[in-house]
Amino acid sequence: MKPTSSSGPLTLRRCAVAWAPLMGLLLVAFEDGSASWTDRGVAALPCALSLPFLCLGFWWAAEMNPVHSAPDRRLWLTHAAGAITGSAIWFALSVGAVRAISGPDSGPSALLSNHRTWLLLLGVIAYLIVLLVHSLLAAQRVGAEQSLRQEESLRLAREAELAALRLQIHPHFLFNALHSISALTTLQPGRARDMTVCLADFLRRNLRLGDRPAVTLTEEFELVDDYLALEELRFGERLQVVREIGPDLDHALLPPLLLQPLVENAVKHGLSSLTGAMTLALTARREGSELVLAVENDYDPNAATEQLGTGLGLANTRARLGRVRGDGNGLTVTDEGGRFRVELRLHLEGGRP
Amino acid sequence: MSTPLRALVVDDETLARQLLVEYCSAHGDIEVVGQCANGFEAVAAVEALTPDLIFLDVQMPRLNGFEVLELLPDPPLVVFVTAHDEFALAAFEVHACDYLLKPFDQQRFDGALDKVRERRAGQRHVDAREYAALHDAARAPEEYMGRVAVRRGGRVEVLAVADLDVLQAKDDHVALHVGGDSWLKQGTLSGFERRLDPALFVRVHRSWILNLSRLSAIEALSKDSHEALLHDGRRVPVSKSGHKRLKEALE
Repeated sequence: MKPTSSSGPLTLRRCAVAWAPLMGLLLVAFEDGSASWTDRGVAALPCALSLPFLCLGFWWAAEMNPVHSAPDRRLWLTHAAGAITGSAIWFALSVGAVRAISGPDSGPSALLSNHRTWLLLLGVIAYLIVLLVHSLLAAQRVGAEQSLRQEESLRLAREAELAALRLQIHPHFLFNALHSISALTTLQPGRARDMTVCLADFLRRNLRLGDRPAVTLTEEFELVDDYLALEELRFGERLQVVREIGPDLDHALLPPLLLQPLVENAVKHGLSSLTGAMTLALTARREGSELVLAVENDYDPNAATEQLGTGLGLANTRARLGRVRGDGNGLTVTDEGGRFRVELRLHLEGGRP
Repeated sequence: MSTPLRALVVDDETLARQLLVEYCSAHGDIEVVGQCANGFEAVAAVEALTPDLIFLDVQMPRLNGFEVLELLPDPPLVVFVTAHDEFALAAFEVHACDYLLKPFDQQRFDGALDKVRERRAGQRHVDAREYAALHDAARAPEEYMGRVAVRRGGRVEVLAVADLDVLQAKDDHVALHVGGDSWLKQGTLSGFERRLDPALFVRVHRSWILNLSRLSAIEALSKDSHEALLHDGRRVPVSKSGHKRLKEALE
């Protein structure tokens, strides 16, 4: 944002705007009871015309020695010298011009030398005003850059967070699934092959869906089904799954891998507190303009369980939903009589949340 | 030829149990005498079947593998089976014969059995207190105890630590007082003190740890001795240093 002839805070055109009021100011200032309008005009014109050009120079001086970066004594001395020199140059130029126009002993020349102190002061003031305007603009520019940088780093942090949230495959899940498949290879070779494919599908879907901004409900449920098939292999009868998916929701969109971690939490939560079977209920339904998803598991509320870290998983889900919805009302947890239920709400817009 | 090793297989997953049985069948000197799907069954089965060896899953519902061992007064040889390698593996190597990380193959399993045979020949006895120490070592240091497994005869209970009123040292046991009931658990009071959240539990006496939420009043008996009065009317002696700790905890 350096001043140039066509743009920038101080341009020739803007200088021109300053001429008229300067002229007026000087005409009034040179009024000493005896000077004629002509003398005053001849004296004021060179002063008024040249000052704005000098201000361009002042601007350059401010640009070279910006005040906003921790001002020290040297800087202030530089600007004091600049103000006095600038003012003196302006005065000398004006006197030179007036003498050239009307002669050294004319009325206008006398006006200038009579008002010497006043004019030099005006030059210093002009310098200070330019310096002030420059500092204010610079500070504003720095602030804008800072907030831009802040926004950028926030955006990056958000992206990193999302990437971390998406990568939800727990290594223990993989190790246990592989262990089950390994057991099947001699017991039921055909089923071992099916489960290998199922595990591969699960991994591939995880990678593929995680890269997309949104997935359809069908796609998310395919992932959940692969996951549950592997867990049912491990836990057999202990894991009972009930699904209730409303009609026409196949193409509803949601953020990827939103449901699967909740299902994983529910399975862990239920099976870690119950030595017998647990029921996992998955529901999806339309409610007005919203898609309502629920994951519900039973557990033994009296069992003293070890910490599972589900709270953090739920906080992540809440944060992701909040970002999609723009409010904090997307996630509801109910925990009553041995049933733990997590409900998610997403906006459906013409079938697309 | 020595007598066959009588083995118990404990895992909450059917396939994992079947795989262990299959791997065992390759060895003539191993006899699988039982299978258990959870820790409660395992405690009862060890009592009833007195196996020489347990293959013990760590992650099981309600009662994990470590807690099972804590409840056995005379635990057999142990091979841990787990998918979790973040447990202190060094501790496993010292106290258990071996640990098997899922998934593992027959060769790895055979290696574990070799260690079991060596250990059996050496007849090194490992008691429940050592397993409690192992459980302690395997726990992340910043994590406080959340529950404790106890048993009386054949009855096993898992108590939430927050439900404990007071803990009392009794020889090489600690009595856990809960409501009107009390449970004996092998171990030392200092061992418990280390694992309990100091914001909730305070060692008020050489022989007593107190759950702060049960405290109703502190009464002075003499200059240096106090008594804590609990909500249920129980009185617990408070030593001079215990009184200092109690005051600090209440600040």
